[in-house]
Amino acid sequence: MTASLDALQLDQLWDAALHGLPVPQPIGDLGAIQLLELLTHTTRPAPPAAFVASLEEGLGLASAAAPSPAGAELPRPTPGQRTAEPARSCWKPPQSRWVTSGYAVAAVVVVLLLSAFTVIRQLDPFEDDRAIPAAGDWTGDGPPSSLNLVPSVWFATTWPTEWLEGFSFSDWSWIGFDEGTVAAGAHSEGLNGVDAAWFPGISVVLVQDGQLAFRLSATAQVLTGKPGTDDLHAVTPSTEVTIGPGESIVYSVASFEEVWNPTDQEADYVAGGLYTRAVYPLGFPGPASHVASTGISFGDDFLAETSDVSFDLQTLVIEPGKRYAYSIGPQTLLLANIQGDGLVLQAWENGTAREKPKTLFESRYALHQSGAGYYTLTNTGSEPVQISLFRATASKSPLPASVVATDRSWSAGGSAFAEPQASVSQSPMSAVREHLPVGAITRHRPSGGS
Amino acid sequence: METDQGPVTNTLRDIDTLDAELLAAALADRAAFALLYHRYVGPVYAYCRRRLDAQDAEDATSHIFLQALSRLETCRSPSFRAWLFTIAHNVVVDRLRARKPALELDDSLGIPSNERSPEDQALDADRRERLACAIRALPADQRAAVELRLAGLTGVECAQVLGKSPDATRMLQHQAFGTLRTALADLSPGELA
Repeated sequence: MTASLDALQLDQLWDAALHGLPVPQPIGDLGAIQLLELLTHTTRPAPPAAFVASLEEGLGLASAAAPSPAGAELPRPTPGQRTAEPARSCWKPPQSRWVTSGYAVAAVVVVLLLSAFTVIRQLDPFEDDRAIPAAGDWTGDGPPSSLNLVPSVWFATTWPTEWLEGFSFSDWSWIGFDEGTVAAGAHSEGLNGVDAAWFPGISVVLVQDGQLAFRLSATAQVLTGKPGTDDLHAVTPSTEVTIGPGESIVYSVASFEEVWNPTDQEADYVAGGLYTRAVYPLGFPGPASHVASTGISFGDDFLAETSDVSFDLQTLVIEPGKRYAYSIGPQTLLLANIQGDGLVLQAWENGTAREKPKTLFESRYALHQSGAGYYTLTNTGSEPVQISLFRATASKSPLPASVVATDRSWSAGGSAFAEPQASVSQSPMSAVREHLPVGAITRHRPSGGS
Repeated sequence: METDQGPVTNTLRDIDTLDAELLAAALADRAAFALLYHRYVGPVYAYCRRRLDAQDAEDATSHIFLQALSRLETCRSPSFRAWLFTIAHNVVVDRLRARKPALELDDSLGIPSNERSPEDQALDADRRERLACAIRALPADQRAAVELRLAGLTGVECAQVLGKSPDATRMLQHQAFGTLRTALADLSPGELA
């Protein structure tokens, strides 16, 4: 039955399927690909959230770790409770010594928290009486806009679910993020050269430098135009679209055919998207064309009863001693690519630090795993740190108050180009929603850097 | 001579590089192990759950991460995932040897969705059950190779965990794949076969 696919080909195909990447070479055996899809996509039992949180605590990691996606509402029994009532789906210590160890860990955590609070106060260049809202109040006013930095490039759009006929958001489970440099003339068939229709999803691509050309088989939403102006273009089938610095494209993956660098110079891009499986937005071959990618699965309920999804892409530079503030809502996914060391992540609640600060390395992170709330990234190093962010926010209904609130929260992190006292009403996303219909795409590319 | 480094290789290198960075951080500060924990608690649990009942899978997952955390210094593998799943494989095998599993894969694959029609859910449930049965019916070594694959390991990592050569592991998974394909040929007539 597998005569057309030998053991080595199967091995390579399986590697590619696991990581949602194009197959190493053309595979004509579609049945094999389909079976791999079934295997990798269907059989994935997930651990109970309560168990994940409980084991995390049992390992002594809870105070420093990103909590599970379910957020802070997860029950976290005390060590004593775990021993007395080892409920199913909660971690059970294999040895009773963990009871006493738990108290020791708790004591250490308290000391660490006190130390962390001291550290963050020392690092904080702002007034002690600053008002950073409670984590549970993430829809309220954000941190003072003076905390925030001007993104060098910024893009946001909203994608109504009706633009994706035939796709159920309940099937989606993967957020991907990709940042790289594309060699001159490089070409890619993207997510899957065999059949992109197998990977329903939405991709958002922002070109920072150079040019990228796309060919799409169906209508897509495309933004082109000079900085400071916004145009919404519908691309006709099989049309080539070339976008340059500061320009973006949003498309349904099912319509995607190919992407290439049409010039003799390198092109830099940032891309993100939501998918039904583990894929990355663009798949340029070659070691020099792909500098960072990350992806993480999210819960089946993230997009349940969703009417639209907002996407934000930002790149910015955090100078030494500066802080960047952002918020995470209950239906926010946020991936970050950090280029440089020295960033310290701190969660805030009621104006005080929540949990111990966490050092972030030059790497990729799923920042939404820290749960809903307000956060700051402080550059404690001596060198500027560049960070790229891709955020997806699901909305329950068109233009609800919560969407605007979400934008306000986010724009608190990205709207420093507005006057501080007017950061909410003049935030880019709010302006978009006020002046454009749902689904309209806009882009803001301030001239200044950080 | 340049080696062939396609996107698969690059992605795997990204994963290994990130894991190595996180491991280094965890060695410096045990609390930083939380990042690795969150990256792999799902795959590790899923791997355990495919062989054990829900209760045992949780216990096994707990033991695996306890062992990993206590032995971080011994991780010499270029792939943290392979090292972690070697522990996982050994823990699961020990548990299976200790006693017959009371329940395997009864409901582990069922993730009902309210967004789907009853017909779709029934079809999905049937497909999951068929897959589970077919995987259970594989010879032990083939089944282990498939389940490690389903946990997200590459062929080379599977070989490392199973203590076999990459070629031998490829043959195992190739044989398993052929068996599964035959067993599941009627799931999508005309396509799988």
